[in-house]
Amino acid sequence: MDQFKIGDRIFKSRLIVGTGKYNSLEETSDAINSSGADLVTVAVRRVNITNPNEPMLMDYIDPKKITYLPNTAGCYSSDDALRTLRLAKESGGWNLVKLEVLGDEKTLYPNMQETIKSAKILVKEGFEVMVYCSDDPIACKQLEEIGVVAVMPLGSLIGSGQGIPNKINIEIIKNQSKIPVIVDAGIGTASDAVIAMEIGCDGVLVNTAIAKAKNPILMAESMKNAVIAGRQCYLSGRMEKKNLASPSSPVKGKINS
Amino acid sequence: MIEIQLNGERTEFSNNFTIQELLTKLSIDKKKVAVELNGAVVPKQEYSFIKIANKDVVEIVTFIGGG
Repeated sequence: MDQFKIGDRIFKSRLIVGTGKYNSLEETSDAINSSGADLVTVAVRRVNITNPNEPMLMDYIDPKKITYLPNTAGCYSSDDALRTLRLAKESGGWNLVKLEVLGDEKTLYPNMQETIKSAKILVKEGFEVMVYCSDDPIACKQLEEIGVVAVMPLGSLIGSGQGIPNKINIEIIKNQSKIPVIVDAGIGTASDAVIAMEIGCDGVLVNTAIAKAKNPILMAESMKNAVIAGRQCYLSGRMEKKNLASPSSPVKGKINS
Repeated sequence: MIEIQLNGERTEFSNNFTIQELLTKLSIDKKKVAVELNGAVVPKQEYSFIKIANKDVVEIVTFIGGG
């Protein structure tokens, strides 16, 4: 049985979906249903005090059915990230979180020094931490040693849709890690997700590629199928590559021989 | 009269009350939010005991769509 396990939790889908950038909460909900994801990232923000009747994400996506993964998107310091996740824990009552500490607004590249500092504190406080990180094998190793439950190296910059230009690094990280490796950020199209899964990654996280597709609901299904196809391919073990042709039909018994 | 900082806005109230009373006043379901008082997270079971005082900084947050 091929199980996707993060910490002690088992998830049905290896596709994790972000809930940002959709046109409406209805569309968010429909896209998530279509993606088959049972783990979705969410952000922590101030309640609109002036209009408390404004619809909330929880009215559309039932946290009892779909696991919420609170993230620290938009945090540029360890203190901000810790504050956000402590609030998230109190709000939801669970301790599985996604840590991301950003370094710069233009690239949204992770600040690994602050990320590692935060991860250490969160693990000590009993959080199960999934970490958005650079595709640096050493940083990923350090995070694993701290005791995080998953590393989430970027394929390319958040929201860029540039895919995985350095898949060799992701492969190195996958081969050295005993915890799940999930490609986070950069997935632009179905083939990018397939590549991540063919390398042997345990999952992918997709947000913008679905939310900003012309038809997000259909793209969500496409990503679902891509992740399944890539995983099945990885488990099957692909054929060896050769430089020259090898005929698919038998040579023996040809009518002109 | 007390004045507090509520989600970044200066807000005045006529008297002191608990966090639970504040949420009720704002029609907010406590199951969907978390509350921070002067930088520290307040456990939900303490909402009915903890009173908000003049100059307090209160943050009420929830989950929204995000990547």
